Parts: sequence; C-alpha cells; structure tokens
Amino acid sequence: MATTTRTKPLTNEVPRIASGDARRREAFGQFLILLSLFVLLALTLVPIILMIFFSLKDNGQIYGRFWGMPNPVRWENYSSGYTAMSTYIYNTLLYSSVSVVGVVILSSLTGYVFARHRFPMKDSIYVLILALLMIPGVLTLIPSFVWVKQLGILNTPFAVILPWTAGGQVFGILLCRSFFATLPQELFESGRLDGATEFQLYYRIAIPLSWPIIVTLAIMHLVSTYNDFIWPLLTISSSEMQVVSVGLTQFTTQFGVTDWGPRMAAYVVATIPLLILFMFGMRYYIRGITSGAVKA
Amino acid sequence: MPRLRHIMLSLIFVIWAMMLSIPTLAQSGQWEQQLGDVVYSTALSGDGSIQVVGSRDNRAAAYDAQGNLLWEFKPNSTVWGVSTSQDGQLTAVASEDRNVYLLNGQGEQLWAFRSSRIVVDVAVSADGSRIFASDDGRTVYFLDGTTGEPVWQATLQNIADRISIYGTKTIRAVAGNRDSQVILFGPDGKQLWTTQLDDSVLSVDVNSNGKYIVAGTLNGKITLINGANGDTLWRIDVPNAVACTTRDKSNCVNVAINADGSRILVGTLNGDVYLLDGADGKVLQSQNAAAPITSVSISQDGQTLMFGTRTGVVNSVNTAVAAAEFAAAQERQRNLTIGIPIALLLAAAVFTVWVQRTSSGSNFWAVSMRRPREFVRLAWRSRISYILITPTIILLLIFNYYPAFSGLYHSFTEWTPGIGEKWVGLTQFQGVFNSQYFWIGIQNAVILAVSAFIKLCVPLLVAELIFHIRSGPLQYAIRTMFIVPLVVPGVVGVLLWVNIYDPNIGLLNQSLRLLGLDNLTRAWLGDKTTALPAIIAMGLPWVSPFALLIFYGGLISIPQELFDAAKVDGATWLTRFWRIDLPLLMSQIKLLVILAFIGSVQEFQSIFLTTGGGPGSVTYTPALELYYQATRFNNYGLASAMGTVLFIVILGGTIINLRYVRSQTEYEA
Repeated sequence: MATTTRTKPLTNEVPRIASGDARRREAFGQFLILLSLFVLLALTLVPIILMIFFSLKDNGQIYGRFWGMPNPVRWENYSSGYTAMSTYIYNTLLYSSVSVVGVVILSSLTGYVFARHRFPMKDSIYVLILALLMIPGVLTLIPSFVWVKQLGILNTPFAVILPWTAGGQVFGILLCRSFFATLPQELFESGRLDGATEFQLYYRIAIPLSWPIIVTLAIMHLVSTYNDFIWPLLTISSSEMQVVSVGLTQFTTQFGVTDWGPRMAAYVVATIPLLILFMFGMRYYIRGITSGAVKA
Repeated sequence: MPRLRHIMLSLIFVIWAMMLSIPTLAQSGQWEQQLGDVVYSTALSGDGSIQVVGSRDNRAAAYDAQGNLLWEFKPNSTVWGVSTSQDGQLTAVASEDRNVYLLNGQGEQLWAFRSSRIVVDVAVSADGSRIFASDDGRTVYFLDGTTGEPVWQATLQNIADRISIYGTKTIRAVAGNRDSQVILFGPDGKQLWTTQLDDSVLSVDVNSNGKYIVAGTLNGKITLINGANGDTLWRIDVPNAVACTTRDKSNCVNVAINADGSRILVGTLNGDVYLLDGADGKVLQSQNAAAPITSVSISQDGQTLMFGTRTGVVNSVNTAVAAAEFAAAQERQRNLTIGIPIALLLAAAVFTVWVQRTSSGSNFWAVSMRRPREFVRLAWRSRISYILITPTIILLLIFNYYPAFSGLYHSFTEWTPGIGEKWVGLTQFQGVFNSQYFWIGIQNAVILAVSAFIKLCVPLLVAELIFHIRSGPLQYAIRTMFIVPLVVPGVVGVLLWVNIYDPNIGLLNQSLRLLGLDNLTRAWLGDKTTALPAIIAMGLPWVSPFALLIFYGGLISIPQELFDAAKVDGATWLTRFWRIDLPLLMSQIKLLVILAFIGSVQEFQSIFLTTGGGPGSVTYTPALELYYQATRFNNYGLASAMGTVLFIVILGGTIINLRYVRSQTEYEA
C-alpha cells in the first residue's frame, strides 16, 4: 500500500453511437477541441520559445533581424549566462536543500504526532498552527525583516533558511497529518506490542510507508523556495550569497542593459534545475497541488 | 472552522480595545511649517530663539521659537546659505544672485558683497564681526562684518560646499571641499592645517571654541575632527545610510554641532534625523521626516534642533520639552512595570492566605484544582508528544507568530528599528488612509482582483476541453504540455514579459510592425494608459497550470454515473456544464477565487519587476507602497499599519467567501 489512488480513469468512455452522421459530428467536435487547445498551447508557450530563440542570438541579430533564425548560433551566450548564474544557482540549491531537509523532518515528525498521538490541548495547538495559513505575507514581511536583522542573521544564509523552514512547515504538517491518519492503526499497535519506542514507530513504520508524500512535500518546498524573490531581496545583500531569482534581476546591471542574448541564456540556465526536478517529480508535484486543494 | 473564527474575532476585538484605550500622544515644544520650496539652509541663534530659514524660492526668513514670522528678505535668486550671530541680530545670506547680504535684526540689508560667482554658503562669527563665504569659483572670502570688505580671500583646489566659523577674539574659519579636504584658516588667511577625508565633504560645522569639527561626507560617513591639529577623533557610518550620488549631495548628509561639542545633529537623504552623542557618535534620538533632509541646525545648548527638507518643510523642536515628555512617558511605563507585578504579588499573597487559613478557601482549592491536576497528570504522561513537536513550535513562534504580532503591534507606533518606538495610537492608520499612493494602490488592487477572477475562466475552459478529449495518450500529452510553464521560475516568467513589451525588440511591437500597424506600437509599460492593462495581460492566455490542475482534478473526481445519466436524459454539453460540472466544481472555484483575491491584494512582485509602480504612480499597489515605505523611507510603523489594513481586508474577504459562496460537495467521491 504505497499510495492512495483517488484518480478515475483518464478517459470517460461514452457508449458508442452507431449512426455515421453522429460519429462524423463527434469527430468534428474532437477536431475543434484539439484545434483550440493547440492554439492556446502555442500562445502559452510563446515566452518560453522566445527565450530559447533569443538565447542563441546576439544583439545584432536581435535588433537587425528580429524574425530571422539565429545565424550564426551563439552558443557562447550560454557560457556567459552560466558564468553569471552558477554562484546563484549553487547558493539557491544549497539553501533550498537545507530547508527542504528541515521541513521534511519537522513536518513529518509533527504531522505524525498530531495524527497518531492523543495528548491534552492537541486540537488547540493544531488550530493555532493552521491559523498561520490565514496570516498573509504582507503583514509579516517587514516585521520579519526587522526581526531577522535584530537576530543578527541578516545577510547570512540563515536569514533565508530559517524562515523558509519555519514557513514551509505549516503546509507540510497539514499534508503529513492527513496522510499518516490513513495508515492502519494495527501496524502501530503491533509495533508497540513488540516494544518499539515512539520514535521507532515513527522512524521504522510511518516514514517508510509515506515516501510518496514526503517526496511531494520536498518537491513542493524546493520549488517554492527556488521561486522566492522578495524575501531574499530584502535579507541578502551581498552578491556572493544571493539566490537565483534576485540574481536574475541584477543581471541587467552586470552586463549593461542591452545584452539580450546572454541574458536570455541566463534565464534558460536558471530554468534548468526546475526542469530536471520536474522531469523526475512532476507527478508528485501535481499530487501536492491537488491534495492541498482538496483539503483547503 | 468555528474555533478559528473565534480566534480571529477575539483578535480583532483585542486590536479594537488597544485602539480605544491608549490616546494619541500630543506633540508640543515644536513647530513645523510647509514653505513653498526646498529649504537649503537653516540657522539658529545661540539660544535657539531666532530661527532663520533660506529656501529656493529666493527667500530668507526668521521665525521665533514658536514659529511666528519675524522678518523676511527676498534676494534675486535662490538662497543657498544662511547664518546668524549668537544673538540673532546679524544674519548673513548667500544667494545664487552672487551676493552675500548682511541683515540686521529686522531683516534690513546692511551691506552686500558681490562675488564673481554664485555664493554657495556663508557663516557669521558669534559676535558678527567676521563673515566667511564660499563661491562656486573655488574662492573663499573672509569679510569684515561692519564694512563688508574682504579681509582676505583664497582660492582652493575645489569648491567648498559648506563652511563654518568660530571664535570671538581670534576668529578662524573652516571649509570642507569637494576634494575631501577639511581646511582650517587662521584670522589672516593662513591655512593652519588640512585634513584629508575619504570622500567629498558635504557639510561641516564647528563648536564654539573650535575644539571639535564635524564633517559629513558623500560616502555616508560622519567624522569628528580635533580642531587643534586636524586629527580624526571618531568616524561612524550614518545609520540606515542611503547611497548618495553627487546629484543629491545637498540632501545627503547634513551635520551640525552644539557649543560644547556634546551633541551632533545629522540629517540624511532618506529623511532620518539623528541626534548623536558628541563623545562617541552614539545615536541618542532619531526621527524620520519622510523627505530628504537638506539642512540641520542645533542651538548652542543643544536643546533646540531644526531641520529643513527638500519638500519645503521646516521643523523645529526643543528637546528639553520633548525630553520632559519622554521622561513622563517612561515614568508611566516604569510605574506600570513595577506596579503590575506588585499588584499581582499582593493578590497572590491574599489568595494564599485565603486558601491556607480558611475552610471555605481550602474547600474551593480542592474542588477547583481537581481538573487542572488531572490535566497536568495527562500532560506529563504524554510528554513525549510535546517533546517531539517542540522544535516545530519553537520555529513557528520565532519566525511566524512573533513577526505577525510584531506587525500588528507596531501599526500603532512610530518605529525605527534599533533605535526605538513610540506609541502613537491610530496616527499611522490615518497616515495610511491619507496616503494617495495607498488609495491608487487599492484602486489598482480591485482592478487586478476582478481581472484575476475573469482570467480563471481560461483554465476552466482548458480543463473542460482536455477532459473531453477521447484519446487517452493525447489527453495526457496535452495536459503535460500545459503544465510545462511551471518549470520556468516566476521571476523569469515576469522578465520574459518585460522583454515582450520592450519598445524596440519586444515581440509585441515587432509583431505590430510586421502587420503594418506601426502606429499602434508604444512603450507598453512606460505609457500611462497602457501600463496597467499590460501588467494585467501578462501571461496571456492565462492558462495557469495550478488552476488547470485543480479544475482538472475536480472534473475527474465527478462520478461517471452522473455524466451517463445526463447522456441518457439527452442533455447537451452546455446543459451538462451548467448543471453538473459547474456546481460540482464549486469548491475548486471557491478555493481559486480566494487564492486569486489574496494574491491580488498582496500583488507586488510582478509590479516591482515591471514598472516599479510607475509611470508616475499609475501602477502602484498597496503592497508595493508598503514595501517602499519600509525600505525607502524607513517608515516602519506606517508600513506595519498598511500590513495590518491589508491583513484585515484579506481576512474579511476570505470569511465572506467561505461563508456566502456556497459549495455543493455532497457528490464528492
């Protein structure tokens, strides 16, 4: 029992209609659906295509022959794009990974306790944790910044790692608790009979059974921290410690306003970590979105 | 979740009670006036009773300590510098009309000295017998106070933007120039010493015996120099310094020092005014004027402080009065902090006696302690649970709860982090609602929210279309393709649209040119009429992968039997959509509407990355104004108040949505 499947078959088979006329109408309907979807899809992908296209041109080609193919293809844009972004990407992946590890450990532990333990004040504490979902970022942005400054961790990796970890937990606890609640009680009963400690029950039974939800949580948290912009902008000022999303905006000043090719290449380079992540974890991410939605 | 609602309601009640219980502190001992134009210079008589102001609208004027106008003098051009003698009866004015004027106690001209260049600053000795002036031809003049004739003049390596003078018998002059030098001149014009600082000297002042010279430099540092030999006594960075460029040098760092050198007043580009301890440069007091400070002055006793801003505000405050107020407030605070524990201790003592000595008391104790004792016993038995959740709770308390309450609390204060805070009641909220930027922001937020709701139709449509594809693999492939934009980091997504809107090489203008519609091309984000629509149109055709996945997830969880039944009843696809899909997707729609609402109220990142609120202020949002108030103007209290207002708006919207937009989820599998 690795996952709980909630999905229905992907296609909804309708009984076949015999009449040829109806079948032709049906086929025409399918054609219209596909056509409109392809148009929408093409429009949706325009910025991405534009990005890749520009990343292979130089300024002369962009200004002179806007619609022309990249000729010659400027692969060297990617080397300058990579040089500009590599430190930022390394930083972001480092901070995000540390935060992901923290979030996964803390959320699963707390989620486990709330799903499996009975103790006084449990529900009140849980409501107080969930209440944090109602606190919008605008309220806490500036006070958090001042607080982090007062704690003396401004412009250090901790300034982003700790708040990311603390904030990411709330959703993680929600996710983990609802998952752990579905695990059969008997497993834990028998574990207790065999003399397992509470921590062993968590570590030996709950965790191995919940890899899918943990991977989901990890990916969702990684993506959200990778995309975070305002918080690192406020708290990290030195360029050597900066993260990707802020680094991208500071690219302008590094290369001058007009050097579009390397800039677009840098955008592509900044996209690659997420691309790799989604290649492996797309379905976990989708599960995170949909399960979060059903519970919210 | 009724419990949650109770928490929120009591929270709102607490805020309301806080607003009622504490009255706004009245400010006194000071005056403030809005003059017409930039205040380039201020000066105080020795006791602070005569306060002189020079401004860009060709005007020099004197006020008394209560802000009543004493006299007014109008030269032919901008007044760059004013200075007044110890008794305030002789005032010198440096003007762009190339004259140095000396005025008497009624503001009447005694003489004028004509320089060949614009006069940038002037200083009058305590007795008025010598006047020191500097022009932008790098020349400084040492004038006789009675005749207006030069005693000596000297040409420096570079322009001395600010100068000062001290002494009564032996009168010496100090100049700070753009070559980062502070120079001391003797009464005969001899350069006694020259000190090299590390950046252009923007302001300089000297105490009454010449022992201390304070200088502010372009790199945001303040240096205290030993007047005897030119050695540096200390050097500090201006707190919260904003990087200055040579363009705003007259607002960058302004300094003034009192008679014994014990107090230094500093005004900065971001509107901060600091009172420093002359001994070590420690900040004693601070306030923010919300506009770049162009000039500061301090009286000889250090009690009267005065500053002028680029927006033409003159502010004068007597710190003795302000300090008395502050002390009274502290006294009240102290009484509270001592009084409350004492009262509590007394109550506890009385209670203990009652419980221990009387039968009714011990009876009450036994009955009322039964449940708490049980609670403690249970809690102790499940201590392992508490230990396991402790790390989470501690992190949440530190990084989530504390900032939230800090934000709510500081909405009621004037808050300068690291220096102090002052309870001002509802003043900050008044500021929020009087801020035109905030209202423009609210207007835009409403537009953004409505358009965000409309945009939700597209993912719904796409989800329906994908759901109706017959071929399984094709359905999967198309769904995946629509989710691909998720891999693009959010910032890149916005920056790509900035590129699409670029006036020269943007895809939009290039396409228009290709179609021969050259007259429609424009700087989409730079044009007042199109900036906001362009921001709204970003992401066209708005197939948000997130919304698509949620709608699609909702569609596939609708039981197949319902569709079959509809089919049997001969329902068209439109009826089916209205009668089955839409009602059953209501919980998803509700969720996305809430999220879109919250997102629009907090919208900030995409505006920040595209227009920064411009052109003018047409694309401001409340959250952007909040960010600017905190980061640009250091108005942390005002920013907190904006955060609180937005929090209440979001909370209200969410509750209304949860309550009145009904969902039908009985069919949910």
